[in-house]
Amino acid sequence: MSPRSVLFAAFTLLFAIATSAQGSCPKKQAQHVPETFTMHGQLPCSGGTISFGGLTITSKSTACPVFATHTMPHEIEASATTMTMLELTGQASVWIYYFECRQEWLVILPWGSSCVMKSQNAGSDLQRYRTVPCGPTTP
Amino acid sequence: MPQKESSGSHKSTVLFLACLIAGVAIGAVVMWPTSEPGVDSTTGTASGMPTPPGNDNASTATEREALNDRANVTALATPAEDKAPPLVFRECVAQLCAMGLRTAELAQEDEAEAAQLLNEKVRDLLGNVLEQFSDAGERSLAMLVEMSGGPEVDKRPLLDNTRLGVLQLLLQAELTRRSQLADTVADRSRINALVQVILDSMPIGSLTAEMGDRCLHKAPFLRVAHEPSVLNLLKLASEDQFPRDVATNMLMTLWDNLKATGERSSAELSQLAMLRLDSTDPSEIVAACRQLLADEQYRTIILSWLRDRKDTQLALDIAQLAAKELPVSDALVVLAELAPLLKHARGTYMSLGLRSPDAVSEAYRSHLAANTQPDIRRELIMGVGMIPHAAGLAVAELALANDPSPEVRIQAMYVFTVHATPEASEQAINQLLDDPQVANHQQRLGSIVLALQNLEKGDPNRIARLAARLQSLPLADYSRISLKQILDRALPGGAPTSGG
Repeated sequence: MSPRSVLFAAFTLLFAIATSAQGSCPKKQAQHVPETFTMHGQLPCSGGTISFGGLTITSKSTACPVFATHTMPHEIEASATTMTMLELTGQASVWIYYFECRQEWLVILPWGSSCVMKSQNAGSDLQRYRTVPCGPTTP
Repeated sequence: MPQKESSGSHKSTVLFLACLIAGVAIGAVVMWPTSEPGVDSTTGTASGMPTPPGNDNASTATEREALNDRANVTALATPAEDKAPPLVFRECVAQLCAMGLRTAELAQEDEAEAAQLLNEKVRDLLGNVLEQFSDAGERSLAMLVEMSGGPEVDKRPLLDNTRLGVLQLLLQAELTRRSQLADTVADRSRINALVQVILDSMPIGSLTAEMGDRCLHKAPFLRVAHEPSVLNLLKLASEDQFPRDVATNMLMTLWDNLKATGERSSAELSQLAMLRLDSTDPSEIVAACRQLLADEQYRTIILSWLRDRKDTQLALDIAQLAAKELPVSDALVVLAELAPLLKHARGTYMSLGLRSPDAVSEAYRSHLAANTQPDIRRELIMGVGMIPHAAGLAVAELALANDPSPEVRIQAMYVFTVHATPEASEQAINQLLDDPQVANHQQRLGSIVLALQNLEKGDPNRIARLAARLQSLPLADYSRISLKQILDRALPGGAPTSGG
């Protein structure tokens, strides 16, 4: 093998290693997602309809949710243009709160008290990430 | 001559004064009935609360409306004067609050009969107030505006929140009454005016925004006349000066009403919605997407548009709307189409599970049989498993035994910890820990640690056994910390200090 071939082979190998090291970096970054609270379903508290003075009004807004999901702050992965990747730093619960009506037959219901929480459970979980640079030994 | 002149001048002065007094007297007589039962009651006998800045427009509009209605108030109030003194609106509200609070107290003390009796009196008084005040809506709104600027609802005293409940009832009743009247006489001027005042008041603060949402969302009162005001709320929302969800609710309700009343056809609304897709305001985009998803002709186009846009928050908003509003089979298709954008969301199928647990269970079985889309399978298990329904546990059992994806089985284990017996929950967790794909994976072990929170209030020995097994596995540091916190809460003596 000529010295020229050896030099070419060495260069090719170095280039392949460098390309492969760069290619193994996922180019990802952590994108923060703030806490959210989402309500699901409606329990018709306060009877849903109330009659007085010859009128029947439908008071949907005095209903309370059947349950609500409370997602704690977390991060999701997003594409990055930089040589970065994600590192798992923790996990956050997704809580589910179950509700029930309080005194369905009352005509006057103070705001914020038409329903009460019955129970709460951890329903799932999400990841906490941080963005770190891809190291030279990144797998 | 000068005497004559002087005498004439004196006579004319007396005549002028007499006319003036007579004028004042006539004026007083004319004005008296309006100031007594109404206008004065919302401002004169105030509790000393200063008028908050920024409510001038609403107050002025309210007063304008009150002026329009004075004749009616007087006419209604006159016959009652012979029998009983006229009601004072503010005092009526105070009385209703007191009665409402007392009714709730009686109910809590299990004095059901007395509570029911008082409840009926509340109903009677509400009826009387509506009968006497044809502008009960405007008066309620004026009182609400006075209350704005204070703390949020959850930090307010019970009396304040009771007053809000009373004002809401009166406003809703007034809206209903005027809506019925409008249908009868084919004239919407009075209902439109009240809705307009409510819309105008909404940007004042969180209370007025919430009141507007409670009274107008999904109600038939918003019409084409209110379109500019609704668009103004959207503009404020896009500048973060108004709650976005409320603005979206108003636009969606307006469009629903326009369609229902024939003021705009579905095709016209869809065309309008297509134009709105270019908006920079998320509320408008959400409302436009909702309209287009409901229209089969546009559904494919809008789903493709959403996927191309790659906006995860918008996709989540649309997914939640679809789960709540579209026919179940259509909603399943929409959620599946949006799945690539919802990978990191949880609970997207729960509203759908609540509406049709069987359809969600069936969708899971189909995906499991085809062994496709584990992300969707996990969400389907959560969607049917975490709702208060028996179908969830059966599907979770199926998943735990047969699903090849550890993430789906972990979700099924969560369902066990909520709905199954403690013994079955422990067995489900042990079954997962027997799998090397779980036992050697820090993130999956972390999920199991977090699920133990659901067993905290149960048998401490069970928690201790599971914790001991978990501690023998390669937990991440953050999971060890979480596990210690759980043991501190669950075990009588707290977590063992040696970590064993």
